[in-house]
Order: sequence, then structure tokens, then C-alpha cells
Amino acid sequence: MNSESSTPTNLPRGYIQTSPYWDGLRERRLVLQVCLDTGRFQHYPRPTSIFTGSQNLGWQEASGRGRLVAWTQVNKTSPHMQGIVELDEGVQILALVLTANESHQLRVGQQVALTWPDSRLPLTGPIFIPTSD
Amino acid sequence: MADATLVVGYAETPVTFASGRTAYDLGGEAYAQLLQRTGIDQERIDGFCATAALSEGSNPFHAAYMSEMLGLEVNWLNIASIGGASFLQGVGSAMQALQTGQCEVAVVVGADAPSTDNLTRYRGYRDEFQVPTGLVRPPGAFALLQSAYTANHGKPDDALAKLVVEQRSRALKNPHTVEKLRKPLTLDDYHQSRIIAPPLRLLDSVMFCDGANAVMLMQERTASRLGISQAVRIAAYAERSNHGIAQAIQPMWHSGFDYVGQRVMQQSGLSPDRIEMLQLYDDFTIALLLQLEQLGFCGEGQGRSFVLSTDFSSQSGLPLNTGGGQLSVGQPGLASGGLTMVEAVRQLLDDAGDRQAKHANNCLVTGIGGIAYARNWIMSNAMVLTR
Repeated sequence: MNSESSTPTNLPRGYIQTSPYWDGLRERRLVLQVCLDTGRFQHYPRPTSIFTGSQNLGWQEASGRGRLVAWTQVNKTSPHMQGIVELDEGVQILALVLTANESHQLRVGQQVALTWPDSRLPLTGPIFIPTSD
Repeated sequence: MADATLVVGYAETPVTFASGRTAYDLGGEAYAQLLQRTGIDQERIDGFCATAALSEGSNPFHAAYMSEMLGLEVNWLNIASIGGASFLQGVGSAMQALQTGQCEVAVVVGADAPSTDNLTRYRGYRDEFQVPTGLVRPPGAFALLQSAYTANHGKPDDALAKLVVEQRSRALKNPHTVEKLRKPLTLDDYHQSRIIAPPLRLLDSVMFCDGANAVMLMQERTASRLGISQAVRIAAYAERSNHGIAQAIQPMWHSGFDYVGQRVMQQSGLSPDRIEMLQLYDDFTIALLLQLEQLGFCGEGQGRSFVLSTDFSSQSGLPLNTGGGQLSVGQPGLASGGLTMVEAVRQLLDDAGDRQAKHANNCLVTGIGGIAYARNWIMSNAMVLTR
């Protein structure tokens, strides 16, 4: 696993129409796909609603708050962990997770929130950081 | 009972590492061995299925090419392409083709050589939404699964250690075990094994290898016409993919095995306490624990205590992965599902030599296929075989 970089800069784009998500990240907002029939979020973006099968889909900004349901670290040399975050909007997202400091360890069940790095480098996805112990 | 579908023969190559061979070469070897062992003439084979191969990843015509390469004129041709669930699914599909009369004698071949070549490119959403997080290979996904499970049910490490050590000792008796894994392990070895993606250790994970396996199937009446008496009966098959995908969020370790377990018990008229042998898909140790829970051998969260208190040895009432499982034999890529299936058939035919288990009347075989986004695996499938 050590050969894997967690921050590639040449991202493949658009397996379907996904630009609202990527445009959102550039503006430091987490914009997710929403099924307009049911009002439910889905992530990753799909060509159809996984709830109804229709293409009545839209995009909406998510709160960026949620709960860590699992975490690991596939590359020990990277400061990033990989996690699954259950957002308050009721959708699970794979994301990078940072710890508050180097000695801190992530804990499943922790509250997390979005954090945006200062760098102007393109983001590869949202990054979360714990907001509770 | 209606005309049952039988498995009348099996074959497999040794599992090797970086053999330099192709899936075609290995598949051909398993196929020739299958014909020799069953004594069935090639011209009788009118159904064929190959599992997809990581080593032939760029070719969507793989099964067609393999059938052509083998010189098979067939009335049913299929590719089984759901990862480690492929082989069992191929057998399940062959059963349907036999039962509807589309073919009379079917062969399913699993062959792959990912330790020589891995040509897959998954594309789709994965490149855009998963790969950028660094979650590229299976250990990361199974580490997340184990992380979520552990946080809710406690660390199962001592149970995982027991499974690893015992399976290794069985693999040492299996002549097909890959050379690299032919050394005994202790519980200490497990606990000191390197953490590759917390909480997952190196010894929790399989190793990509090369290898092939094959089975032949036909209906009971065909077998009696051909004078075949050595056979194992398929008593049940079920699969479920994308368990709970559009439901409200549920624990990520839940899988289709809840449904699949109930369904195969119903079809076979058995219950977990009447299953006499287990050949469970074991790409990662946590998968074994989850299957034991979800197939109904113990309650949710009870996997650790069930494993620690159960004798799975070959002379017990519930032998598990009698050949050593892919964890210790080596994982021949997408042919890995054939490893459990072939071992089940071999055992039920009393053909396992010095690793022959205590007489079992039935065996539960499982498969796991595909890694999903932020959820458990894609396909869960299971088959019950009886004497």
C-alpha cells in the first residue's frame, strides 16, 4: 500500500456530469447530488436516483458535519487518514481525515467537520477533522 | 426429488506466485485435468463458463476466447465477473442452464494470474471518487470494514489469530499451497504481524497468486445415462448484491449474507446447526467472522466468542476451510472462488487423502465479490452441496 499517494493532482473528471461537485470543492463548499423525488442525498454522484431510478436530480450544499464511522491509514508517510463519514444529511462519504495533532488518534463515533487546507492546490476531495474527542 | 444438478468432477492447478503464465495456460491445464479425471469426452461438453481474470483485464471477450481456444462448440457460454463470487456464480448459472435444458454437460473454469500480470482498470466512479482518497487496493476497504466492526463489537484479534494459525496448519498439508506460504505460524506471529492499514495486519490479508480450477456439472439423469456414480448434489444456491443500498444508513459491515444464508437453508431444508462442513470465502479474516454471524452460526457481534469456542479442525463437527483457505494457500485472483468450491467437492467425494475430514453429509460454500463505495462488498453468494 505504501506506493499509493493520497493526493494525486491529475484527477480524472466527469465519469458522468459531476462538475457541480468539483466546482463546489474549488469554492471550498461540499456540493452533493440530491434526488429531487425524495429529497435524499446520494454520494458518489449517479446518472439516476438510487432511490427511484429517475433522473430528477439536483445539487445541494451539505453542512459538512457528520460522524466518523470507520477509519484507516493506507500510507503511513502521509498525514492523511482515510475515513467514512456519515454526514448529517444521511449519506456516507469516503474522505481524507486529519487528526487534531500528531499524537491524537481518530476514534469511530467522533464528530467531524470539513476543513479546507490553505493551499491553492486542487482538492482531490473533502477533508474532515474531528470536532469532538 | 426433482432431477438434481450434480457436480461430477473437479480439477485444480497448484497455486504459484509470479508463474509467468497466463489465465489461458492455467485454465487449459485445469480443463485437461478435469476431462482426464471424469473420463468425459470433450465432444459431450455443450456448456462453458469462465471467470473473468485480472490478468486479462482489458479483454471483455475473455470467456469467448477461452472457449474457442479449448475447441468447445457449446449451447451455453457465459462469463462470471463478480470478483471472488464469480466461480460460485458461474456454477449457479450453469445449474440454471442445465435445468432449462440449454445445455447437458457444463464446465466452469476459474483461471487467473494477477501475480504475473494485473491489467484491470476499474474506471467509472472509482477513479473520480475513491482512488483520490488513496483507497486503491482491497486491504484499505477491508480495514475500514474491520474498523467499523471493531468499534461496535470489540477487537476480534484473538479470534482472527486462531483462524489464521489453524488455516495455515491445514495449508501445510495441501500440495497446492503456494511455496511462499509453506511455513507454520504461531499466534505470536499473528499478533506481531505488520499492520498494513490499521487495524488490518499483513496476515489478515490474502496474497495475489496464479492458478486455475474447474468443475463439471450435469443433471442426475444425464449422469446416470453416462454411467457416472461419483457426484455431489447442489442442494441450494443464492446470491445478493448491493445489500441495503437504497435503505437508510445501516452498519457498514452488514452484507447480503443475512438473506443468502436464510435462502440457502430454506432451499436445502437445513439449518446452520445441521451444516457439517464450511468452505467460506476468506480473502480477509474479518470476512470469515462476518459470514459466521450473518449466515446464522452465531449472533451479530458474537463472531469472536463463537470462533474461540468452536473446534473447526478436520475431525470436528464443523470443519472450516479444510485445504487452508486462500489466506494460506494463496489467492489465484478471481479464480479464488473455485478454491473453496473444489475443496468442498473433493471432501464430499472422500477424495482429500491425508487431509480428508470427518464424514460430512453436506457443505456450505460461499463467495464474496466486489468492493463497494463506503459500504460492504457488492456480492454475497452461497451454495449448499450434499452427498
